[in-house]
Amino acid sequence: MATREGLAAGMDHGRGEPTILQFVPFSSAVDAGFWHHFTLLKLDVLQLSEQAVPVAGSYTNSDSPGLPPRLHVEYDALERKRAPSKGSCRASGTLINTNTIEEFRNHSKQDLLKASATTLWEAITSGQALQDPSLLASFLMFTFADLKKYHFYYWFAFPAFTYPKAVHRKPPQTLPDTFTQREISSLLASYTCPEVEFDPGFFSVTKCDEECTVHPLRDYPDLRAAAHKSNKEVYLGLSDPSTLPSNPGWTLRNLLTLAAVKWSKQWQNYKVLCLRVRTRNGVQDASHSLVVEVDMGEEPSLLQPAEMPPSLGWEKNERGKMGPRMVNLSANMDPTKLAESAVDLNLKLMRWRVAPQLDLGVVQQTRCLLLGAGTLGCAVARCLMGWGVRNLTLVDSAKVSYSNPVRQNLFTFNDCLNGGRYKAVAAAEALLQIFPKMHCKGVVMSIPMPGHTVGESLLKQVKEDVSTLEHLIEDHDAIFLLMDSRESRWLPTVIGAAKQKLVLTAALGFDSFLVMRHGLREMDTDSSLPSTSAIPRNSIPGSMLGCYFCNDVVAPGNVSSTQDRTLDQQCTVTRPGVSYLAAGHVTELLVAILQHPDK
Amino acid sequence: MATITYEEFKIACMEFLESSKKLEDTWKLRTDIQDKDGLCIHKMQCIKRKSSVGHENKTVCKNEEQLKEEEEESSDPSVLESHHPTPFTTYDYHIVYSLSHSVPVLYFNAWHASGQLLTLDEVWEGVEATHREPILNNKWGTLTQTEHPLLGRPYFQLHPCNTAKLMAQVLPQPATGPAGLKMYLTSWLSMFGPPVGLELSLCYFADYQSTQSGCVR
Repeated sequence: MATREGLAAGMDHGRGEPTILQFVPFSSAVDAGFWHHFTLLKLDVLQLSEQAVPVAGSYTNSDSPGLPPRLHVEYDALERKRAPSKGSCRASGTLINTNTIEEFRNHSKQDLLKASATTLWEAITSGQALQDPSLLASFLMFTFADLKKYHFYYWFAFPAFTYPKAVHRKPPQTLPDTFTQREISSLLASYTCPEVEFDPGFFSVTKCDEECTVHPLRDYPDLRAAAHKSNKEVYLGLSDPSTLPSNPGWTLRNLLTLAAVKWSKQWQNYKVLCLRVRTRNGVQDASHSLVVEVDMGEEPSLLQPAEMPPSLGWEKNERGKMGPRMVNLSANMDPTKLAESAVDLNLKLMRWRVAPQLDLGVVQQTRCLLLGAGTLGCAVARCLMGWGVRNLTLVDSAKVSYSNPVRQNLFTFNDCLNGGRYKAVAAAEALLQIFPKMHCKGVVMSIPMPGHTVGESLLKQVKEDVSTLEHLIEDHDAIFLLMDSRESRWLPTVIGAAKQKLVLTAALGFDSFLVMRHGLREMDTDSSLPSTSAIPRNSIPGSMLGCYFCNDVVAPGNVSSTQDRTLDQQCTVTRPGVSYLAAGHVTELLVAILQHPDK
Repeated sequence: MATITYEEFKIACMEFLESSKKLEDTWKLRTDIQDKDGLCIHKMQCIKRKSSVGHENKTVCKNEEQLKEEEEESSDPSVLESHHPTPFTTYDYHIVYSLSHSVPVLYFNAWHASGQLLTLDEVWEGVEATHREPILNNKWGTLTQTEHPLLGRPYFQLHPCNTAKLMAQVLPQPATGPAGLKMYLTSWLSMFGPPVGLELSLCYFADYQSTQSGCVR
């Protein structure tokens, strides 16, 4: 009620309707790089400490219209060594980090704000803020960093006091309304190239005989006391982060609190210059600056509170609610996700320049079954991974032997120790190590072969294997036959054809290799088979392609069967480079087929 | 082909920074990464977001629900309330040297108020329509996301593979001397900057002689 009476009293003076001056709160703006530095600080220095650490903020008075006043926390805010750049003002911040989400959630926000406000109040009452005015733009950053997920929770507070009740009796005026062009030029010259050092955030301004001079804030009382002797006008000045035509930025609140605490005994009215300077093409423009005549609006007896007045200042979140914000930076900081996006990007580059029509999605979605995890299996798996294939299953019954790693590029010496690891399992693990975003598994199983007699004791196992193979083929889109014997290719060839899957064969000879796709015959009707005369001379339709066994005539002669062979023939004896040629061809063949409209 | 050496690039950058200072532009040297044997100058600018689409943190809202939102602070008449904070985007532009192409390269990143980086699609949304076609037509190289050569973090890059060819058309004579090298850098930037929101004042081209502020037209 006292306020209302005060306002009424003010009206009696006939100086216009008193209006409460409204300040634009800061919006926090955190650099992407800040979170990187913060992560390092948390890991290397802070660890579990919850001690407050200083953080350097900045704001500017040079924004173009429409932008909210921003308190900017830059990439180097935690280890600021450089001087603030020209045109930007310092804000002293404190960062308090909690170790758990519960602490972050349950910590009393009132207590936090009060502690922060108390520090500010002391800076104001002790006069420290006069010496270092950047304290008036102090802020609190309360955080929790979930470094496993790269989620950062944070909440900014820009502490201010509900004191004094500042009013103005006429709307804020723009600078050209109250200053002449010459005065403005003089003001800008003094602001840009000062004779006496002053804090760019808060200062005093004198105007006399069309000359303006900027002075440090602490000189204000002396300047004003001396002013009435000359015809000097003295202003409280600040670099105003707001761009609005009738509302100054948040920093003015604490400047007025300081004025009320320090000088309200002498003066209750202040001329305030909210300086905004935009530079375009090297020309400074301050015409959108504001001049406000502020009335503390209260009886002098109510000023100078002994106790700290109520404080406020938590920032609203992006939904306009009082609450913390959260930023998920896993896409930019999680190494696995970085690898994933880098791999995708690398593939996309092919589309941008060389092959704009390339459908990478269809390649990536193809589920590949690799029967055989040896020389060919390893090389094909790597090639497929290079193409962006993510779903891959390797089948093999053998273990890694000492001769394998030099040729089979997913294994190392360690895989051979203690009798050797299963190839299928070791290869799947190696793929995951190379690229964690792979979905791959290894199945240890031998593929039943025709002509190999199955004894009574093994019958159950063989039946199981047939069923497993059938399911595996069912669950995949492309089947690669990469075994070292002809016989083992037979069953998957038959199942693949029956299930209408894309089956590809690669087989090695000593210095020759075979790579082919198996034909895919329409199952429904016999009539789909074109008559011989209808076959064009130069191309054979896919439905007329045979399988590995039909095309036996061109298969490398040296591919071994395991029977009636000497040792050099039982093992696939081949020039080492040939396996890479074959693996490369069979992978490219798959990709080429997948791009075809008929597949 | 108009290429420059790293030494020439350094001279060009220093000259450019000098002009920036005179014009009260905000280009700065990244001193923190300078010693890692690569000069980098950068500029930040903040713009109001054009559209409301691409709302940041769409997916995290669920996680966030576990954080209670406090009761409204008792409303203070001195606060100018805004119910929906104005979204804005901060752009950070870096000029570094490409050893393999012997030309300057423009890297940039853009992020929301929280530090959440814009995706490539969101960056495209921010590109002026008039500039989209030249990029699509590959005249100025391609906009790609790649690792920043000095920071090791993902940044967007306008690929330098055509820069030398393009510069040869713009500057028929090889760039020499500090003024010529500055002209090289500014000409280059005036072509590569605008498509990604970085406008360059024409004053950089004006012969700057007086110390007076103001552009000589």
